[in-house]
Amino acid sequence: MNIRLEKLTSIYQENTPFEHLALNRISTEFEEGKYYGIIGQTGSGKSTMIQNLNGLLLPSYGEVHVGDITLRRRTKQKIIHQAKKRVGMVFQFPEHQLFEESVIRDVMFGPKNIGMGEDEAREKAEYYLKLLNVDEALFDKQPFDLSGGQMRKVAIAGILAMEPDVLILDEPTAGLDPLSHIETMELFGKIQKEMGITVILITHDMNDVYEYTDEVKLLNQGNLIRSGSTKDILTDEALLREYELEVPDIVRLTFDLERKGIKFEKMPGTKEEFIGLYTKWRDGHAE
Amino acid sequence: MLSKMLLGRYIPGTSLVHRIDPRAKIIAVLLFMIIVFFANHWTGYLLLILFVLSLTKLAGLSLIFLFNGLKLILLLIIFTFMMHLFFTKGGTVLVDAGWFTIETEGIIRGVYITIRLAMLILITTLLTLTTSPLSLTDAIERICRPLKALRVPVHEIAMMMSISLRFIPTLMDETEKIIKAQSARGSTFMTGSLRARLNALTPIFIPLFISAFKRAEEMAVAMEVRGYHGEKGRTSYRVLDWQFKDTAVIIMMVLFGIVLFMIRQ
Amino acid sequence: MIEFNDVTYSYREEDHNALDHISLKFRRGEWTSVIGHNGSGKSTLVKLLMGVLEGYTGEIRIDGEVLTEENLQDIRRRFAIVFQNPDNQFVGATVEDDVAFGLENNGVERDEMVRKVEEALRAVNMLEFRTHEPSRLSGGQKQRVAIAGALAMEPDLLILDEATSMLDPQGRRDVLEILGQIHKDKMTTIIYITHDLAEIGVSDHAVVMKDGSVINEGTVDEIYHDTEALISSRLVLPFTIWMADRLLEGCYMLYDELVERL
Repeated sequence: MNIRLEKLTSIYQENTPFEHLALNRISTEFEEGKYYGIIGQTGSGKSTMIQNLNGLLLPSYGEVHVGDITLRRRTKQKIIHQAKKRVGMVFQFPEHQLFEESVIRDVMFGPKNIGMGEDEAREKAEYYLKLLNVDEALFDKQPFDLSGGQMRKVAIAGILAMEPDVLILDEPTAGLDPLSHIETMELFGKIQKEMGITVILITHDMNDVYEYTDEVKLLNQGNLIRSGSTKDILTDEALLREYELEVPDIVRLTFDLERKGIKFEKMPGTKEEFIGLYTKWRDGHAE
Repeated sequence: MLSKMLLGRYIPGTSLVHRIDPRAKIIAVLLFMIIVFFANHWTGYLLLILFVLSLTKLAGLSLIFLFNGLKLILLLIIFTFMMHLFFTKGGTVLVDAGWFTIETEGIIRGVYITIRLAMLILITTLLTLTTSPLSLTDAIERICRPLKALRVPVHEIAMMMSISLRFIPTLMDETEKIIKAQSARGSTFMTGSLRARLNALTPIFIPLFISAFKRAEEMAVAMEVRGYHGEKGRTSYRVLDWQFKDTAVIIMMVLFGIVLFMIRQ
Repeated sequence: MIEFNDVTYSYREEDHNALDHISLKFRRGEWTSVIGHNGSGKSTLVKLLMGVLEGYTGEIRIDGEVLTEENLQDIRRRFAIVFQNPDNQFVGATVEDDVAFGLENNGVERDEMVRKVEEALRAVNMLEFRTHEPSRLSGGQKQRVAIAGALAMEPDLLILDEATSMLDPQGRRDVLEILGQIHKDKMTTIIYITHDLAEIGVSDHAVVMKDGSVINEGTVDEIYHDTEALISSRLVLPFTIWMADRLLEGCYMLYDELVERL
């Protein structure tokens, strides 16, 4: 299922003195099965954009096509509900949304809302909790008794159990320690590959965007500046600097070595790949 | 709709009315509440209206703006007028429909009471529109200080009010976020039976309560390690500076009251 | 200045020790970083020091004096602490009110208070925001206000308990930069608690904790050098250190030096 934006314009508090243009005539597409990164400064319109993808916000002008569902200015709740079924969203600090008396019931909340029966919802909940390495002994515990990291996993399982075609991640690693950060990103990478779903990631961490995504959309002040392959956009130093975004560590190091005369045959995609390319270069230049 | 409501809102500004000491403003409004009842015929009421209108002008607020913001209150005022129109008897009978009559006294009383009510609402709205909630809290604390003798915990109440005010925007943001998060999980608040809608509120309120408790707990620790131990030995960063113009405001109010009292009939 | 001598503490609901026979020194005028994974005991250390938790064995000495219930209040006055959540420690209705909060509690005269608030806000680069309400500030700006609130008290010791962990990269950089400046200008003693190895670069001294014990201690060079100890403590090596470790047989260096030597 693809998501297509057609001249999507989003205006906050229209016709008041506080009117603010958050998105300006954005036309672009998210293709099935790809991993997208949305990047841009705070206030560039990233959050507004993703909230338009599942009907949390409706376009002020223009249209959003979620598969065969069309969302526009006055779309009915019933149709919006269909879009929510297909587009799952993990918010920043998702552990804040837990409320049920047990872990398993909390994960079942979403699936039941979109029409799954008790048994099916339970089955999905158990499956995704296990996938996220949540210990079975915790399933009947109160979610609030868990550690912060476990609570976050439960919240994420609650979205996955709805089995959306598209998964939106809004700063999923905010507030995590570096090791949990890596584990979480690895996990989403694995889920994206194995389930073949579309993932859309919002983050400030350019290293994550570089390492995990296939495509990038760069926003600035409500305008779509660039849309294209991650390898193209995140290796464009001038572009990143212009929009005050950081150059990923590996890219920066590769370019700095290039300026020193150490040239690789291609741009490394991961740290391990860098090590491989560098040792190869070193062996080739060993006197 | 709600964003246009003016009741209890504050509009920052630098007009003379904005700059008057909040204590003076509160006292003046209290005086006005008494003075309103001095007026008992049309010259008195005319003076009241003129007085409030010139204050509005001084505060730099437009009447249309005020009118739009107070539309809901207008219903209450019209209701009051109708009550008098139909139920106050006396004077000449103007309309006699058998099961009800409208008499001149009813119209006159209705107009007078309506003016009273409208002026009271306008003046209190002017107070909140031109005074930040924080200065209002400060002023209330200072004015109520004598109540401490009666063991009313004035300082604690003021501290609670000011922290609550500070957390309102935070909690509003949080509510919005949680509503969105649950809505993304397919929860619907807008459709279904009343019972279903009430049930849909649980996933919003529980996370909100939990987070509010957590915030309160962390806030208490933060206040404690910053040396908060109640009012004893505490100084105040905010000062209210009572100037001549503030005394003048009170004097003017009293004079206005005397004038209204003198022209009573 | 601060000494932990053989301190052991366990939370009631847990069977293992949160702190296990810890002996540590924090020296005056130094910036000491305490690094550890979640649950390593690093925050428990601070809670004992601030008297938020009680019932430990061993002793804590402040300038030679043993910490007791009697002198706790007095000691609190000399320490200032910045916590993790920017929202939940912002007491004042505006930036300047919040900075003044601690001073008000200590009964500082108003004129002096005004001067100190201004000075503290200038030190964290937030003077132009003095009348702003917290809802109009970013997380990083709120933390800078919290630091100003701490600085205004002119503390002997400034503790930061994971103060940057909820911030975005920009906010994190700003906070660290400002702390570095303050440490340099005023020689403020700093205890910096973190789970991020990338943040300890500026410290004079660093302590690595794991499961309630200190497993390594020394200068930043020494800490970064023992990469095995770091990895076994469930810490993640910063990019430069990771590269240097893999390609140059593990020595601590800054990024420019890495580029130089590769």
